[in-house]
Amino acid sequence: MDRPPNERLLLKGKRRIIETLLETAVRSSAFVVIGALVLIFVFVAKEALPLFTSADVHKEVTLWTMVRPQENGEFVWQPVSEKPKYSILPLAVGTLKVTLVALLIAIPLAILAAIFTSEFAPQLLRELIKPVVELLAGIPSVVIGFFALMVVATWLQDAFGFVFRLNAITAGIGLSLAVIPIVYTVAEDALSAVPQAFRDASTALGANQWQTAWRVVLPAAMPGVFAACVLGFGRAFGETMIVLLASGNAAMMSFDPRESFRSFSATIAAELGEVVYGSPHYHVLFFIGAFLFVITFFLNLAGHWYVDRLRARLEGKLKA
Amino acid sequence: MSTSADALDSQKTAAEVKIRVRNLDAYYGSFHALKNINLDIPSRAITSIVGPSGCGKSTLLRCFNRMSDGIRGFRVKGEIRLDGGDILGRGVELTQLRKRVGMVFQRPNPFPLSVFENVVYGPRVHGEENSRLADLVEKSLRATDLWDDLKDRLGQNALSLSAEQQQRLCISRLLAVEPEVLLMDEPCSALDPFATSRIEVLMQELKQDYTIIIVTHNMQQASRASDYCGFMWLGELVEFADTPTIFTKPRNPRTEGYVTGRFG
Ligand SMILES: Nc1ncnc2c1ncn2[C@@H]1O[C@H](COP(=O)(O)OP(=O)(O)OP(=O)(O)O)[C@@H](O)[C@H]1O
Ligand SMILES: [Mg+2]
Repeated sequence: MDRPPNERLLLKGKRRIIETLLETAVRSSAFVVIGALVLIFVFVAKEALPLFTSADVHKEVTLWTMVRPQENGEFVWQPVSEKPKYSILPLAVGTLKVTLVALLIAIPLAILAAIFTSEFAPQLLRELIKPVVELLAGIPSVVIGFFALMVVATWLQDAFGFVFRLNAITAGIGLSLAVIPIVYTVAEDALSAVPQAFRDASTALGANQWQTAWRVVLPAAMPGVFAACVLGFGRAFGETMIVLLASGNAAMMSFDPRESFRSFSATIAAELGEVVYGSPHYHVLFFIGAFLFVITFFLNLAGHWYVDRLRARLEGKLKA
Repeated sequence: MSTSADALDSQKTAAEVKIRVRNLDAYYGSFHALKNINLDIPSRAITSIVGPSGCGKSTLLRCFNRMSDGIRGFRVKGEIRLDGGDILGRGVELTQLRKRVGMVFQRPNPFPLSVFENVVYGPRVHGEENSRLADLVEKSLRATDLWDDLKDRLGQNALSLSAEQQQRLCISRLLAVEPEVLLMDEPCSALDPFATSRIEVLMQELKQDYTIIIVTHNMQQASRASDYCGFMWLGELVEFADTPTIFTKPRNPRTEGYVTGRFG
């Protein structure tokens, strides 16, 4: 096998090297991203750790005192006062309250819009709606927050006469504007990924468009639609700026959505700038941060995993 | 030299006519896909449609249940009557038409639901009472010889069945809406030869109760399994007759060339 070296083969060799280099670059940038994620988590977790380990911190606050009723039977978040109080329950209630309102608005709207675009809208309209909703995702949350604070709050107060101008309904509506694009985009993808063959089968059996959309396409895309909701939940849960601006920022232990509240994320944003470095308050804020990180991370992970599985199920099985 | 409408009308066919096609033209935009088709589909028999790829077989088939209505730019002219009733008119209730004229597709396409849900889908859509569903499922699955295999697995996801079982399930699902006509567009092309011949046996059983129209690329299948056969060529129906005639003494040389495999 003594052939003279082939010119074209050599060239291929060179290209091969370039390709390998490029591949390495791409791969390492992926690792940089993952590395950054890990570093952030390690940093946050490290700052949160003293809440569990430091005796100094325990003199003022422990995980247990953060959830249990305080002396007078109340749950108060007042980290900067004569006697600091660290009940995280009002924050949890506030966060859940606004998340719930936002999801109650965003999920039905986004899913109906997704069904409309994927199943009913004529081509032209579809090509208009998709980018517009996706554009909504690009609006900085501070702008949405400002809009909720200035405009939505006024409308709602005029319409319903709320005692608290800034409350969970106002903030929830603002927040839903941030959640809708995510839920819509993922749900629309899931619905569009449903093979045309299912729709044809349904149509050929004499089903109308609604029946086809509702009984065939939606169930087939359900895991993806569910994942969309999970991702929407994660977004609502972690969103800071909108809630900070439109919540009224009062850490009240109230389930009433018409009253002001304060969320986990907004608490960190509002207090971390002024907290004494290394104080118990500082560590508590990092603990809350780590908690948010873990929850949203796993929600996102679960959401994307679910979407991928759905895609594999629909495509793989049909090809087989 | 397709058959003219007048010639067909004056002809006294022994068999009862289920679908009557007169001067049918179809267009995708400016493309003339079906050219002046005239055809009488006999009731309770198997009619096969053969012809080279792209000659318009599927297009013709999809006129019978108006599946192409949604395609942009698609137009039809002419007349199709089902038991004498016009089906191309504007006022035709498509859901009712498709209940009477059902379709089996080339690739088995059961819904990603349980076997049971697949079969009851059509009846539910047409407002069938819940109390009848269990009976319908058994009857429809028996009709396609699936019942014994699947009666204990009705809750299983239909996508986990074999290709042949999936195609049988699709036929069961269709029978459950109690149609009169079964349109089959290359129903065996995704199946192996054994499964294919078993489906052909099934078709022979079904033709006692249903009018079947099958599009196929498989000449043996057309000659074995059908009673009547139409040969299409570039959008025209070149010849239509009982299957033995088409395969042994066709009138048109193009038909002969195609069915004997000399071109196509
Ligand atoms: N949606 C469509 N838009 C435009 N042209 C189409 C469309 N569907 C089919 N055609 C054209 O109409 C002609 C007939 O198509 P049809 O699918 O009826 O052929 P066929 O005989 O079923 O072919 P095959 O044996 O490959 O299935 C073809 O030339 C095809 O390109
Ligand atoms: Mg075809």
